[in-house]
Amino acid sequence: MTRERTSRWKGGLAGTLLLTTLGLLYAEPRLFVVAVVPIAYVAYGALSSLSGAAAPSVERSFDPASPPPGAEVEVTLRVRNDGDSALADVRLVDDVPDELRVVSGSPRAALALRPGEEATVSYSVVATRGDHAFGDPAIRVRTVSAEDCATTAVSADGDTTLSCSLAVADPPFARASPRRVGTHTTDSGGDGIEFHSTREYRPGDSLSRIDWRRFAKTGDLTTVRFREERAARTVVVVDARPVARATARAGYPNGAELSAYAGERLYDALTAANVATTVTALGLRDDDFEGGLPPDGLPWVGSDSGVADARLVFSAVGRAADRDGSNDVPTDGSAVPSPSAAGASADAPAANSTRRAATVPDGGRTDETIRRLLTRLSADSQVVLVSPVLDDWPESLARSLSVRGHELTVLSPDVTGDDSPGRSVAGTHRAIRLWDLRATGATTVDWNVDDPLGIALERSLNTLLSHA
Amino acid sequence: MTDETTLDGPETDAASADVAVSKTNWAPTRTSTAVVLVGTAAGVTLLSRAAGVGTGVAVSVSGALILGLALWLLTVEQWRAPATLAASLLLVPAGGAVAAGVGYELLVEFAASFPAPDRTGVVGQTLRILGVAAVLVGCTFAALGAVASVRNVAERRTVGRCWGLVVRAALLPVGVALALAGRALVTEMEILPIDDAADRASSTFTDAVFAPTATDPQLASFWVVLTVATAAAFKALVELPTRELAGDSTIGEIEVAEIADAVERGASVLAFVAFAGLPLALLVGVVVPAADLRAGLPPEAYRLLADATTNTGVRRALVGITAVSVGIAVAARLVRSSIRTPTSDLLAGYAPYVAGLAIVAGAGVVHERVLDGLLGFVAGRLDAPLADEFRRLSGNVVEFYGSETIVVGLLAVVAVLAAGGLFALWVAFALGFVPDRVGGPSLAGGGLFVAAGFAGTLDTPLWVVLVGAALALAVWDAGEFATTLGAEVGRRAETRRVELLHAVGTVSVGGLAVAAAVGLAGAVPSGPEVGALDAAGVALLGAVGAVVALVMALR
Repeated sequence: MTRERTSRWKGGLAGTLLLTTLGLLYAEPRLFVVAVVPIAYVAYGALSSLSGAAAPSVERSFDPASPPPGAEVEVTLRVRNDGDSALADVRLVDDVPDELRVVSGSPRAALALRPGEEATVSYSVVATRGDHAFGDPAIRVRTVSAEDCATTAVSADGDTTLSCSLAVADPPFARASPRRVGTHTTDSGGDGIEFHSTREYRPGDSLSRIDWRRFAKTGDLTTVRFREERAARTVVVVDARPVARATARAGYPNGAELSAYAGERLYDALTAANVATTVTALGLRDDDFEGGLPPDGLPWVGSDSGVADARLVFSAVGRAADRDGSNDVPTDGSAVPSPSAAGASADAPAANSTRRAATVPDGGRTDETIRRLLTRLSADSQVVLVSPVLDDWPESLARSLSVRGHELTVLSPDVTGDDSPGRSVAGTHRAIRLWDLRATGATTVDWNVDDPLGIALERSLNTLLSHA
Repeated sequence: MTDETTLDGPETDAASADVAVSKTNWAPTRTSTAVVLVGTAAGVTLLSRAAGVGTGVAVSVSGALILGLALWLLTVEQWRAPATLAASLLLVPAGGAVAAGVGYELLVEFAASFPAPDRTGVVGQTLRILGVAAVLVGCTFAALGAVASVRNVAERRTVGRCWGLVVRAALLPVGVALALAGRALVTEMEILPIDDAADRASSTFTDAVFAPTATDPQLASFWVVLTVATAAAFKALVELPTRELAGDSTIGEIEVAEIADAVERGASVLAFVAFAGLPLALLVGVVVPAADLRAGLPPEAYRLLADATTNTGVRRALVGITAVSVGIAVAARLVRSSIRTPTSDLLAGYAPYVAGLAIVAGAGVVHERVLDGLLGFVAGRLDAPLADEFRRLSGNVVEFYGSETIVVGLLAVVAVLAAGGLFALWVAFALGFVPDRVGGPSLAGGGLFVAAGFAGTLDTPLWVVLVGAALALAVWDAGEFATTLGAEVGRRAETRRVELLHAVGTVSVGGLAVAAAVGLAGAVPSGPEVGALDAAGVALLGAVGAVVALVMALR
C-alpha cells in the first residue's frame, strides 16, 4: 500500500496571504475576517486523515463462466467495505487482460461505501479464444477532502481466469478459397481434352490422335490436336527493392514488409491449394539470405523443396525491408537509386527499361533483373508479383512476360496514402502504373492496407486458380 | 498490475481501444464540472453586482467564453484546418469583448472619481479603481477558467498555440493599419519635401534602371542589373525540381536530366562571371569618365558598348528575368517545403493568415457602419456639451484618416491586446503560477478569489465577500476533483455519488467558515478608518497569522 498526502489546499495559504496583504494595504480589517474562509479549508485538508480505514474486499464473477469465442461476458465486481469507518471515495480499476475488449460499461468505478456496505461494478468484455487471467484490481481510497490518499492492489476473490476454448480448429485460410487444383490451359495444341485444331499427319504422331473418319472419307491422314494443358506453376515474386521500401506514414510497415506479408499469405494459400509454387524476391543483399544468394541474386525456392525454405525467403525480405529507414528511401517512384546504392546485383536500375522495353520487343534483354528472372521461369509458369508498384519496373516486367506468354498477376499494397500533396501525386502515379499494367494484360489487385488482406488475397487467388 | 501507473493513465485500459469513446471518456467528470460552472456563474454575478460593474463584467465574460471556445477548437483533432480558422477568427471578438468590458467600466470609474478633492483622495480613488479593475479581470479569468475546465483545455500548450495564432492573425491587420495610417499621414498632411523626395528618388531609380541616357555607356548600372538577373536565374534553376520530374526521360538520345545539368552549369558560370566582373564594371563605370573611355576605345567599340549598356529593351528583359526567376524560386521552395507536410497541417498553418485577411476584408466591407455605430454609442453615453465636442473631434479624425483606417486600426489594437493578454497567460502557465494539469479550475478559482478579495476593499457587504471567497475555493476544489477523477476513472464509470459527497463536504466547510467569519465580524468594527487599524484588527491579524503558522507546523 502506498500512502500519499497531497497538499491540495496550499492554494488556501496563498489566498490567506493575499487577503492579509490587501487588508494591510487598504487598512481594511474586514479582509482579515475573510481570511477565515481559506484557513478553514486549509485546516479541513490538514485534519482529514485516512487512519483507521481499511481497503475494501473485492469479489469477481463471470457470466457466463465459460463462453464461446465472440460471446459477451459480463464481469461483476462486488466491492465490500469490511472496515469500521466509512470510505467516502474508493476508486477501483480492474486489470482486464489486454486481449479482451471492453464493449459496455467501464472496468473502472468511483464508489462511496459505508461500513458493511457492498456495491457492484459490472462491465462486459468480448471473449476471445484462450485462457485470460485477470490481474488484481487496483484500489485508491481517499478522504472526503481528497487530501489523504492510499493506493493498493487487492487480490480479488472468485473468478480470476476467463477460459474460452474452441471445439473446432480455426479454419485455415485456404478453405475459404476455391479448391481447384491448378492446371493451366495454353494456346498451343498438343495433348489434352478440349479440341484445338487439326493438321496433316506427320510421322511419329500417335495413332490415337489420327482423325480416322476423315481418313475414311477423304483418304488423307490428319492429326487432331487438343488444347494443351500443363500443371500450373506459380512463381511469387516479392518486391523488396529499395524503392519499394517506402512507407505510408511514420511508424507504419513499409511497402517491402507488406509485400513480404502478403506474399507469405499468398504462398500458404497456393500451396494449400496444391499449386506448385516457387518464391523469389528482388532487392536482397547477400547477407539478408541465410546461406547467401545464388550467383544471379535471385533466391529460388519451390514448394517441393520445403516450406521452411520459403520462409527463409520471406524473412530475408523482412530483413531487407528493415534495412533502410523510411528517410533514406526515395518515395518518389521516378527516382530510383543506383545499383551500387541498392546493394545487391538484383537492384538493377529499373525505370530505364520501360522505354527500351517499348521499343525493343524483348525488354528483358536490357534489364538485368528481368533477364535473370526470365531465365529462371519455366515455360508453364504464371507469375505473381507482390509489389507496391512505386516505379516503372513492374510494367517493363509485365511487357517482357507478355511477350513470352506468361500470365502475370500483380498484388499491390498501397503505401502512397493521400495525406500530403506529394503523397497524392505519388498515389496518382501508382494508379496510372496499375492502369498501364492492366493494359499489358496483367491482372492487378490493389490492396488498400486499411482493408483486411484476406479480401485482396481472395481476389488474387480467384484469378490464379480459375484456370482449371 | 502496478497500481500507480494504471490508476493514473488511460493507456493500459483495454477499453481505450475504442478511440472515439476514450477521447471523450478521459475528460473531467460531469457532476463536479457542473458544480464548477454553477459556482463560477453565481460568484461572478454576485461579486460584479456588488462591485457595481455588472455591465462590463457581462461583456468581458462573454469575451472570455469566446476565448474558451477558441481554446477548445484548438484541441479538436478531426477538422483541424477549419477549427484553426474558426479559432483565429474568434480571437478578435474575444479580445474585443474583454477590452471593451474592462475599458468601459474603467472609463466610467475614472469619470466618477476624478477630479478628486485632495491629494489623499487621489490615492484613495486610485486604489478604488485598482480594486474595480481587479474585480473585472478576476471575474473574466474565472469565466475563462470555468468554461475551459469542461474539457480541461486550459493548458500551457493550448494557450501557447493560441498566442501564436493571434500573433499570426494580427500580422496582416497591423500591417494594413500601419500602411493606411502612413498613407493618410503622407497624403493628408502634405509634407511636400517627403512626397517630392520620394517621387524624385523613385524616378531617378527607374531612369537609372530602365532608361539611362543613351549617349554614354552606362556600364555600372547595366552590370548590376545583369548580375542580379543571372544570380536569380541560377537560383530559380537550382530550386526547380527538374531532375525529380524528368526522371529518366529522354529527348532523342539525350537524357533530360543531363540537359538540365548542362543548363544549370551554364547558368552558374554566367552568374559567376557576372559576379566576378562586378567590381571591375563598377570601377570602370563610376571612376573612369566617359570622355576617357571614348578616347581609350576605338570608336566602333565605344559605340557598341554604349548601345549595349543603354538599350532599354535589354534592361527590361533582364529585370523581367529577375522578377520571373524570383517568383519561380519562391514558388518552388514553397512547394518543396509543403509537399511532404500533411495537407491538414498545411491548411492549419495558413489558417491564421487567412483569418487576418478575412478580418481586413470584413473591415473593408462594413467599416462605415461599424464606426458610425461605435461613435454614436460613445456620444450617447456622454453629457450634451461633451458629446458635441466628441462628435466634432471624431469627425475631424475620421476625415483625416478615413473610417477604414480607424476600424482596421482598432481591430489591430484589439488583436495586439489579445496577443499581449494571451502571452501573459502563457507566462503564468510557464512559470507554474497556473498548474498545467488543472489549468481551468485554477483560473476559475483564482480569478474568483482575487475578485472577492478586491471586492472586499470596495463598499460591498461582508457576506458577499465571504460567500465569494468560499465559492472560489469550492469551485477550485470541484474542478480539481473532476479532473483527477476523470483521469483516473473516466466519464463512463459511475461517479456521481462520490462527486456529490465530496461537493457536499466542501460546501459545508465553506458554510461553516462563512458563519464563523460573520460571527467574528461582529467583534470587529468595519469600514475604512484610514490610517488607524484598531486593537481588534491587530489582534485579528495576529490570530490569522497564528493559525497559518499552526497549520504549516501540522504539516
